[in-house]
This record gives sequence, structure tokens and C-alpha cells, in this order.
Amino acid sequence: MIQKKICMLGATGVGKTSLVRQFVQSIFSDKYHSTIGVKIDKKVVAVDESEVMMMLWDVQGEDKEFKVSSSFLKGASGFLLVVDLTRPETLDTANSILKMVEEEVGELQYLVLFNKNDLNKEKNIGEDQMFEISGSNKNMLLTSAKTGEMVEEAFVRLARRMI
Amino acid sequence: MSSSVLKKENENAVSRNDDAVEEFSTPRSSQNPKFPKIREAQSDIGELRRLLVKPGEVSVVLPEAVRKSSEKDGDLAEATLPIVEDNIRQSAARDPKILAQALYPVIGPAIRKAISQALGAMVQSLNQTLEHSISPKGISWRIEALRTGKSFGEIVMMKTLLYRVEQVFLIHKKTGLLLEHVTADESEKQDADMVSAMLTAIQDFAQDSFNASEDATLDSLKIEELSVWIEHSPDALVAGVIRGTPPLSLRETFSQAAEEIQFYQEADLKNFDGNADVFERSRPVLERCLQFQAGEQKETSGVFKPMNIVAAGLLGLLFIFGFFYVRDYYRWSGFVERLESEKGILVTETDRGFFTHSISGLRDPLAVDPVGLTEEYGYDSEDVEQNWKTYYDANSEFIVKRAELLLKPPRGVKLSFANGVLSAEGNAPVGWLSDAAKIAAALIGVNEFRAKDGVADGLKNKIESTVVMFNCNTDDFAKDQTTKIETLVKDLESFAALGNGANISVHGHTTKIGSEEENNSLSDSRAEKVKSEILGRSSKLRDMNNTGTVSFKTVRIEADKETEECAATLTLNADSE
Repeated sequence: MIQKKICMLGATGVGKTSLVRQFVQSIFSDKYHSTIGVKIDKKVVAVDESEVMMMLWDVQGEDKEFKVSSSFLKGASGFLLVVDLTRPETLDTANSILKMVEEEVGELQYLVLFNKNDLNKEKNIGEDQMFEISGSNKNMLLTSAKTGEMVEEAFVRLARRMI
Repeated sequence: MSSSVLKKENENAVSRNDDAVEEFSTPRSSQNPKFPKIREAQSDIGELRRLLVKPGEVSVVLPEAVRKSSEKDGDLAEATLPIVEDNIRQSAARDPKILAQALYPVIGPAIRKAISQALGAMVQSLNQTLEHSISPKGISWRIEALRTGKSFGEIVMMKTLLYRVEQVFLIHKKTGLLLEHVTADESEKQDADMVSAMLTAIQDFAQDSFNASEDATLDSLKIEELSVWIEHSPDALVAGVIRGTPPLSLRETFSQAAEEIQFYQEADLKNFDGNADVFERSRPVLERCLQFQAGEQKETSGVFKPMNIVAAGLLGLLFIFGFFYVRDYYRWSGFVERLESEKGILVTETDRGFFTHSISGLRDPLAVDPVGLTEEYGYDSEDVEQNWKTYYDANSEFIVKRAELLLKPPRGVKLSFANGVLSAEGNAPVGWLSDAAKIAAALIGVNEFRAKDGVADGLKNKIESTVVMFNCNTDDFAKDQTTKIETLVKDLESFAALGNGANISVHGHTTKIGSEEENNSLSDSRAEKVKSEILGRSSKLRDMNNTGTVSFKTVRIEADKETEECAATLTLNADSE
């Protein structure tokens, strides 16, 4: 079985942990976020005829007090960059994280997940902005941790890109 | 030869090679248009020679050739090994400083780490040794050290450092992904993938939190009795989960495992793309790390484990102790209750100890012997310390016993006691009655001694059969009457002492011959004389007469028998009730 290290990145409160929780049953509690800044989960996904074990590093959300450390990204094969559709400022954070990754880690496979897609009336990020950060349709997904919309697809799509 | 000279020579050699290639690449035959195939072949050979000999081109293909060879097998390394070794040897012989400077960044930290581990192990050994140096266990270990020829420190370390390596993880350093995992007990298998990733995360967290350099590593974690020791190689981590207190020498084992895996699977580690199958080869190396030090008590198994034996022994001892305790409890209780129920014994204090018992109290000498009873209740006489003080029980039974012991009543005489009166019943000799009356007065609890009816009959008969003789027709005692009178006095005293008193009638005998008046006078005179003689000889009887306890009366009797014509006799009417 192929193993891959995947990081969940994004601003605080964008729903990274909720997305992971939709995807896996974790053995570690969320308190690890506030203690060591990351929580590890695991999910095996089937991609075509092979299986990929995704080790999910759910990194604490970035805010004024916490900056995502590149050390958690070391050795990652890809990452999911999560943006809150209702909070445009999380897009800025995502941009800065993306820049940090490019500078300190190099090119990695990634998908931008625009989360909280179930909150239709509160969306505050336009398609132009989405394309600006993701580059293309293939590089982004509208997700909802609440309804589970496109969550599985997000992980599988990233896994497929990595093998 | 200096380096500049060597360089010049190399340049000349290259120039000569270039010329040779140029010469070979333009042979005369190649200019002949009639032989195109030969020309083509010559061209190919020329190209080949150019590639092989021309330094510039070789420099292009050589690194790739070396890399491919390394990836394919180890032939190139094997082929170049003697050359490399020889070069290193020559370099070291020529100028050791160059090699030392080159190796310093590698060797320096390694030496520091080795020294640190050695010192740590020494301190650990010292600590353990000091901790156990004066304990009872330490003394037995010293004996074992003497017996086995090992140092005391070695024995202490061997006995105290009990540990077990439960799991060993081989983790890819860069990704934190699990490459291989071995456990001492399959049932304890956890989600090793996540644990290894989390270990890496903790490592990253520690580095970030304390701004440590990338070379700085997290070497160990400790949670109560669990330790996680981590050894690093350039591309992998070997992390062991250890329960107990391991010796620091175990770290050396982990370190060797990390180095060995790095050495044999360096290419796999560097080119790791997520497929960890190739690292199954490292299992034997990792399994070597699954060490344990069980200690002596764990060398046996099953029900015969020393702890079980000790526990069984203790349980057995407890049972035996319990049995003897309960048995002793009932024995002692029975013994004390028996003594308390015995007449003539008063128990005042008892003490039931573990090995000896004691009992104290008061005991009538005539009561049962407690020492004899101890044996009846299963004790040796020395098991029970007995302190008895003598007292005389006022119980009637004991008073009678005591009277019997002292008075020694003759056969047929029975003693009894009631209300302070010791009574004798039966036919007793006069002498015994006399003595008994005296001795009984001294007996504790006895206020009075009485002879019941019949007891004094012998005495009465004796007194009443006494005949005091007078000279005929006179009131003068006949010859040799003194002894008879003395005996009579004693008998009367005894008789009087038996009861409340006695009415004594003294009979003065006369013949029927003569005038009645003379005979009456002589009779009275003889009776009065006997009475006077008796009272004159016995102050007791005199006192009793004065108090009315004893009364005398004189009676005139005309004798029927000739032998009693010149005599005086007595009759008694004694009341001893």
C-alpha cells in the first residue's frame, strides 16, 4: 500500500477539522491542535485499482497568533488548502500559506477547498477570487463539512494526483 | 611531488590524448569515396574513441554511469573500494589534518554523543549501586558478586534494570511515514502509522518551539513507566517504546539498528515514494531491538513463579497461624472458664500472648491445682505463667475440708459446717473431741465447734462410769483417787466444751445400814466433796459454774451394790445443741 502525507491548511475556523472528521474516525483528540499544533489522522482511499493510505496532518488554523510552520509540511506529498466561503479574509490567509509553501517547501500537489458551501446566502467569495488562487476548476472544490458535500471527492482527487 | 607539478602533468596528458583522437578520427582511408561503409565504420569508431578518451565528454557520461551502476548493484562500489581505501590511507599518511578536518563535522557530534551515553550509563550505574548498596537485598547481591566474580555494579544493574521493549518503529524521517513496525506482543499492536506520524509531529513541534537547529533531535519521551527512545539516522528514525527502566546501553542497540538500516537501505530511504514494502528487510534488525530484562523472578513461569510461591507460602502460614490462633483461643478460653468455675480459685488477670500466656489470681490451697489443668487443656506447664496468691475460701466445703485436714476425724465421724458452726457427728473418742474443740476454734470461718447427739456418748459414758471411792463411813477419799479425779476433771472440761453446757449431778452413795439421817449427811458430804474437788481443780469448770453454763447438784443415793457403798458417782445431762 502506498502511503502519503497530506496536510490540511487554512485559516482558523475554516472547517479543516470538520472536513477531516467527515472523512475519518480519529483516535487522537482535537486538543492536540492547541498543544502541539497538529493532529494526525489516517484514511485509506481506493484510487483506481490501488489503495492509498493518507496520513492527514490537520494543522492548526493560521491566525494572528499562530503561523503555520513549514516543518509540518516537510515530506508532505500534497495539501488541502481550505477557505471559508463566508469569510473573504480566509482567502488572504490561504494566499499567504500558499506563498509560504512555495517558498519554503517547493511545489506540492494541492487542492483548494471552498468550505461551508451549504451556507448559500452568506457566501462572500466570488468565482474570480476562487480561480485566482486555485488556477483552474480542476484545482478547487466547493465542499461542505456539514453535509459532506464533495468531502470524499476532495481526498480521492488529491490522492489520485499524488500517485 | 607538488600539486602544481601534478596538475601540469595531467594537463599534458590530456593534450596528448586530444591529439591522438584527432589523428585517429581523420585516417587516410576515410577520405576514399569508394569505401563508404569503411568510412562509416571508421567514423563510428572515431566517435567511440572520442567518447571514451576525450576528457570533456567522459566527464559528462561518467556521473550518470556511476549513478546507474550504484542503482543497479554494488559492483562499482566494490570495484572502487580498494582505490578509495588506498587514497584515504595515502591522504592520512601524507597529511592527517586534511582528513581530520573533513571528518570533524561527522565525528565530533558522534563522539560527543558516545561520551554522553557512556557518562549517562556510568551515572545510572552509580545511582543504582548507591541506592542498593546498604539494603538487605544489596548484601545478598554483594554475595552473588563475590560468588560470580562480577562487579557489584554489574549485579545491581542486572537485578534492578527491568525493562521490556514493547514496540519498535522505523519511521521515514522526512515524511514521518511508517516504514516498518515490530512488536514484542502482537496483541498490543496499536495504530502504528498514526503513532509514528505523531512522533514526527512532536519532534517537529519540539524543534519549532525551542528554535532548535535541524540537527537537534528529540531523543526520548517519558510517560510514567513508559519511555520512547528515538535514534536518528540521516533518513530514518528508530523509535522504541520501552516499559520499565532500561539501561542506557540499549540506546546503543537502537543506534546500531538505525545505522545498519541506513547503510543497507540508504537508496530505498532516499527514494522513498510511499511504498514501504522494501523495508520488510529491516524487520530482523528491528526485532533485535525487542530486548527485555526480566529479572530473576520472571525467569520461571506458571504457578511456580516465585511470587506465587511466596504468596502461597504466606497464605499457608496465614492459614497455619489462623488455625493455631483459633485453637489457642478456644483452649485458653476453656482453661480460664474452667478455673473461674472452680471453687477456691479467683482469676483476677489473664494475658494471652503469641508464645506465652499468663494468668494471675487467688487460690485456696485446697482448690484444684491449675498447673494440672494446663496439661488437660493442651498446654505445657511452662507455656502458662501462673501467679497465684494464697487465700482461704470461706465456702463451707473448704471449711469442712480444711477441718478434716486439720482435725483428722476418726472413722465414723462426719464434719459439717453451717452458719459459722462446725459440727461433728458420729461416735468419736473423748480425746479427739477434746482436741477438735480446741483446734476448730482456730479455723477460719468457724465460730463454734459442736458435737451433735451421740458424738459425746463415749465421753458421757466414761464420766458416768467413773466411781470415786471413799473410806467407809467417812467422807475421806480412799487411797489413790487423785488420778481418777484428775481424769474426771479433764473429761468434764471436754464434755462441757462440746455443747452449751452441762448439768452435772454428783451422787453421794451410802449404805442402807445405819440411820437415815447419818446416811443422808454422809451422802451429801461425799457429793459436795467431789464437787468441790472438781471445781477446785478446774478453773474452766469453775468459771462455767459461775456463769451457769455448768451446774452441779448433789444427790443422796442408797447404794444397791456393795461396791458402791463407799463411793460417789456422777450423771450428766449435757446439752450440746
